[in-house]
Parts: sequence; structure tokens; C-alpha cells
Amino acid sequence: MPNIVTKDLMKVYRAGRSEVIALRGLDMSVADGELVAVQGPSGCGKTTLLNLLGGIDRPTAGRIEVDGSNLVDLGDGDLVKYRLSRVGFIFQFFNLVPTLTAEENIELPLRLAGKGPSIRAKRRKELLELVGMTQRASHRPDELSGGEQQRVAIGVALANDPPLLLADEPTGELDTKTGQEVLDLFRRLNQEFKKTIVVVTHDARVSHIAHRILEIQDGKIMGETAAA
Amino acid sequence: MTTIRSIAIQVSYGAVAYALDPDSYFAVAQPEGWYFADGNAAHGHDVLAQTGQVLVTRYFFDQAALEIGDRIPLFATLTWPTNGTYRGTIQENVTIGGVVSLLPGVSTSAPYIGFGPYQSVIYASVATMQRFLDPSVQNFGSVGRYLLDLAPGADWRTVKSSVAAEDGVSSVDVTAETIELANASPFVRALSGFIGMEIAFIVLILTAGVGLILYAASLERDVEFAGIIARGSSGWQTAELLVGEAFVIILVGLTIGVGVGLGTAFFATNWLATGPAGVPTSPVPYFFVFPWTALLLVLGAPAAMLLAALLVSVRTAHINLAKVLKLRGG
Repeated sequence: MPNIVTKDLMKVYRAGRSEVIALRGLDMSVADGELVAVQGPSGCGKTTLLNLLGGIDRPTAGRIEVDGSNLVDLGDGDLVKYRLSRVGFIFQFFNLVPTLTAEENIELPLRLAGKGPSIRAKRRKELLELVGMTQRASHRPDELSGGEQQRVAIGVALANDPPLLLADEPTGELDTKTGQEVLDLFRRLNQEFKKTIVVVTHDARVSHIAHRILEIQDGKIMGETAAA
Repeated sequence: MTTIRSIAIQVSYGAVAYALDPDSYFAVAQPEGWYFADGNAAHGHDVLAQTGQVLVTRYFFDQAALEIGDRIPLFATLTWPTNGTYRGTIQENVTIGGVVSLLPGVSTSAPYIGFGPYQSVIYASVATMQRFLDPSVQNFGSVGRYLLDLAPGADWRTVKSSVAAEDGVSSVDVTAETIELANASPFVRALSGFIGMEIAFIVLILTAGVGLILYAASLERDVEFAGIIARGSSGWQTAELLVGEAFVIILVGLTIGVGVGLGTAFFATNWLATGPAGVPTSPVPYFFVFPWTALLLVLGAPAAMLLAALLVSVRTAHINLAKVLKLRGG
């Protein structure tokens, strides 16, 4: 189970001669089984934080410890393994493979992990049921609604049963009702399946499901609210 | 060198006969097995070596509804050498010993695609045709052609001169000379040079061309690949994906390409060959019209595409995930 600690985390983007400091020595921690929301104004660095936690990007300085191992020290190969088995990423724009069906998309990470056909079939069935997409399993993304695509994307993120889920504006592209369904699914994954979840969102409803809400401003944690 | 004489004889379907010495002909021309219906050149030699036995072309064989072992009569008119007036007819019965498409260097015209398969020709030994070679037989006794087996490094011009000096020789055709004359034309030279260059560079052109296409296609699909990589695909797995996709395209392309190529070859050798209907015989076997350069391209094209796919996959494996997925700076 993940225990995430960041220390003096810095991320500087360089575009030509200009520099953008996205994170300025950010310190935070997430306990096992927690559901934490990260909020803040646009450009404050919350998505950058998520990228770094997910091993999608590397920090300019600082430490990111997940279960005691520093992601900064991991080589490219180990980072690939980390992304494959330790973390599931849920994107605002779903990022499903357009040529694959819903079930094939869910199966993709299992194939990448080298799982056999019977294991893949069993896991695929479980996940389609979990995200409520069994009836739409053979549809491609362009045949699915935004909410359905996000459900499939959650199934994809859960494929290799990672203990940590990172979600970047998961309700940003969804209507109110569908967004609520996705948030309910997060709560279920956290409570029933004990997943540690970090959600970056502007959606105020997240306060109903999160244990804590972290406020980021100018690349630093400026406040923390314990949710109801 | 071997000498071959053409004999005008009277036989069904306007057949022309050639008299040749089997030993010297086979030593010089060295016809390959596919010229013979049974695929056996040695058997063809043995047939000709037996006096009274002949080889006939497939067209003649079919048109005359012959069977191996059938005996057919050959006729020729005898004339008086002094004034050329008729003095009688000679007949020789010969046995059909085998069937050939045509024999190299021995046909009524150049065996170019189109008319080669439709020639009625009888091949026999000098011994078999001895009576027809008598100078008193009408119009005959002239040398049909010489076939020469040049020694390595031998100069064909010298040989041509010596052959041309033979008594009764009116003209000597040399393939090398024909090619040389054709190459004297700037247009032919430019065309053959262009084709040669195309063949030499086609794999390179394919690699670059396909690489550019795949590169452009991969740019379009950066988000898709980034999503897959973000979910745990390694560089090799991403490369496998791209190369695998390219391989499927290659297979489909090859199937279509080879199909069109073979179809065109079949069309050219059977349909364009025209001639009488119902004789679907190609003048050359299919392996013969499938040059090694084509084989090289069939193998080289997929290799070029795979190489291009591999190069493109290197870039794809190193894309900036955060940038492509538009996650940066939020």
C-alpha cells in the first residue's frame, strides 16, 4: 500500500530562455487508503504534482517517496514498471486508444504486463462489471459517451490492480450527473477496494468523498482542509 | 559452334523443321529443363539422338492432336538442280518422341512474348532429316543459323567476322550487338540508367518514403501513444506496437503487390500473347519471368518498412508524456 511523501519538490519548465516554476519546494504526504483532493487555481502546479507522483515526468529537485523508494532515483525501466503496476492514471480527456474497443482498452495494460489470456479475460470481465460497462464492452471510444469513456478509463487504470490511483480533472469533461457517478465510483474504489486516490479537480463535490483537500498556490501547499 | 538448318517440309499446320546435330546443339545451347514438356533436357537429347525420332512444339502437338509415339509423314518436293523443275516428291515418316515449348536459338522468329508459343516446329537430327538436306530438294541446303558458345572473355566481334566469312552466310545477329546498338540511343541509355538506378535505390527510397509516412502518422497519434506509455508500456513494447502495425500493412501491401505483379505477368504471358484461343501456354515458365531483382524487392521492401517503423518508434518511445498529454503546468 502506498505511503506518499514529497519533500522540497521543485519543477521548473524551460521554454526557450524563459522559465516557469511550477512547483516551489512542495511538501505533502498521503497515507495508505486515503482519498485526497488537490485543488487550486489554474497554473498553480496541481497537475504537475500529479505527473510527478505518477512517474510521467521527473522533478527538477526534491524527493518523491512512494513506499519508501524515491521515484527520482528510479531508472527509466523501473519507472515503466512503476507506471504499469503501482499506479493507475485517469485523465481528463480519457486518452483511450481509439481503435480498440472498451474491453480491449481495459485489456491493454494486462497485455503490457504479460498476463496470460485466461487471467486477462477474468480481469476484463471483473472490471467491466465494476465500472458498469459490460453492455458496452465491444464499443469503441467514439461510440461511447464521455461518462462511459471515463468509466472505461477507470477500468484501464485499475487493470493491473495498482494500489494508487491518480486522477486529473476526472469530471472536467462530464455533465453533472455523470460526474457524480464517477465520483461515486471513486468513493467505492477507496472504501471497498482500499485504493489510495489523489484527485486533482475544480469540482466542489469532491469534498463529499475526499478525506482531505489540499490547497495549492504558486507551487506550494498553502492549506489543508479535512473533509466531512 | 553448332550449325542448324531449317527445312521447308510439307506437313499439317504449316510446321517448319530444323535439322541439328543433337550432341553439338546441346553442348552449345544447353537448353534448360523447362523447355521440355517432361522437364528433362537429357531425354530431349536422347530423342533427337535416335534417328527417326523428333521433338515437336506444344502448339503443333495440340493442333495436330498428336500422341507421343505417333508417326507422321514429312514431305518435300524434289527439283532438277539445273532448271528447278519438278522431278518428284520424297517422304519420310518420323516418330513423335517428345514435346517442347521452343528450343533456344531455334525458332522461326525471335521467341518474343506474344508469338513464341504458337509456332509449329519440328526438331530433328541431321541423320533423321538427311534426305531433305540433299541439295536437289527444293530451296534447301542453306545454313539456317549458327549457335556459338563463346569462351569466357572471347570477343564476339572476331567470332562474328569469322562466321560472316563462311560461304553462304548472309547475316549474323549478335544479341550483344543489338544491345550495344540500342544503348547508342541517348533515350534508351537514359531509360535503362533510370530503371537501374530506381532498382538500386528503391529500398533506400522505400525506407525514406515509408519512414516519412510513418513519422507523419505517428505525429498524428502522439496522444494515443503517450496514453499507452503513461499506462506502463516500455519503449520496446511501444516499438513492437508500431512495428507490428507496420508489419500488418506490409503483409497487406505485399499480398496486393505480389498479386498484381503475378496477375500482370499472367495477363502479359497468356492474354497479351494472343494467338489462337485455347492454348494457354506461356512462352516462358513463371519462375523465368520473376527476375531476382523482383525477389530482392519483395524481400527488401518489408525490410525497409520494418526499419522505418523501428526508427519512428525510437522517437515515439521518447515523446514527452506530460507535454503530449497536455498535463503540464496545471
